[in-house]
Amino acid sequence: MILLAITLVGLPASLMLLMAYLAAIYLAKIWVGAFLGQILLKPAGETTSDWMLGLLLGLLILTVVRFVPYLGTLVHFGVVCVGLGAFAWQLYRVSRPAMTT
Amino acid sequence: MVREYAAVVGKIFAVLLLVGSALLLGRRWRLRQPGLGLVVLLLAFSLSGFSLERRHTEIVSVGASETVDDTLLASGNIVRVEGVINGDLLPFGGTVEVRGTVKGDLVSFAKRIVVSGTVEGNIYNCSNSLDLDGQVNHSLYGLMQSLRLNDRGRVGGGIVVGAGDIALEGEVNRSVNIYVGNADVSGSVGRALSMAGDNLTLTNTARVGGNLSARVRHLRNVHIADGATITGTRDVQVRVRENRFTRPTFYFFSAIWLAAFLLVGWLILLLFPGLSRPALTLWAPDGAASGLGLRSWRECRWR
Repeated sequence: MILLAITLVGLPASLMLLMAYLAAIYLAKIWVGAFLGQILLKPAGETTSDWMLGLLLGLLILTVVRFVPYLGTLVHFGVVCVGLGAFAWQLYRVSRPAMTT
Repeated sequence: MVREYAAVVGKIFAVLLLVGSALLLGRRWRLRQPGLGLVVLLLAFSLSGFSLERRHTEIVSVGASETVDDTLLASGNIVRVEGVINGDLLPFGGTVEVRGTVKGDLVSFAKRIVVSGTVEGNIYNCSNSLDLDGQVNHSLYGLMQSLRLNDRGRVGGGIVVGAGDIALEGEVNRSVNIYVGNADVSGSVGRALSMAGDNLTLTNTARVGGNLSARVRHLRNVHIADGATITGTRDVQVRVRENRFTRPTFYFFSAIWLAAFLLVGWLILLLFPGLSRPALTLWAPDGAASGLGLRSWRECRWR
């Protein structure tokens, strides 16, 4: 991103990449929260309400853990890393359905 | 003066944007020559109409008999001004010495700045240390490790500064607002003195023309000599770090934050169902997710 920004021509692309990266960091928490909720609730179906309930539970747990001194920071870092990776992995799979099946 | 420049530059860019947008919307005329586009870009950024003089050498010096009629942008290891700058002075370098006169503002980023001449405008400063031995007709704003206003130094306006150490031995006509580790005041402040930080010392020669307001961690860190003159009220308070869990606003904003996450999650589910639902079953095979995430962190930092 910095290299793109230095070239001046790539400045808009660099800014867009930065925005996408920040958005991905934000979304990472949702990703992990939903996964955590699904593990704990083990819903029978895949309805929207199940997904939202799982997300709520997962996010509540992550939010509470976040306020624990020291541990919260570590957990947050792990959540961002795992969430980013899961997001990238899923993007890869969705964009190349033929290769994943 | 800097504000005026910014306003004019902003207007020019706004006009350029409008014209460019109109051309693109019309789609009847295109810049077929890439060189022409480059010329337009360079013209937009050259700002020759603003009389900006640039000097970049190891030692940038404006002699005592020299007068610069434009704004001077100077970068070098040492920037020394002994003459007169009729515009603003924008120095970037290791050491900046202003012994002459700057008619406009001084906007500086440097390791060490010494002003023993006159700055007729404001000083906007971000540096390791600033020694003010001369005169500033307006105000001083900045962030620095060390600020020293010597006994011969004079600030016509006020001071708004965040610094590690501040020594005010000279004269400040208006109010002083400082966020500081250690502040020693032995000079004169025309109006109120407001500080937040660790230590405050007012010596016998200190004079405050308005109220004194101090926010410190311990009362023992405030030393006000008997001979110090404070015209207004004294308000010295100890800063108590409040537990955030005891405040209702903390829970209020946490709830809003959580609701925002839920809303975004719901939107993702609605807009990209293929991205959200399968993710829960295909998630993190063999720890690949965490590996990918760590990799993205690392690569972002490297770049």
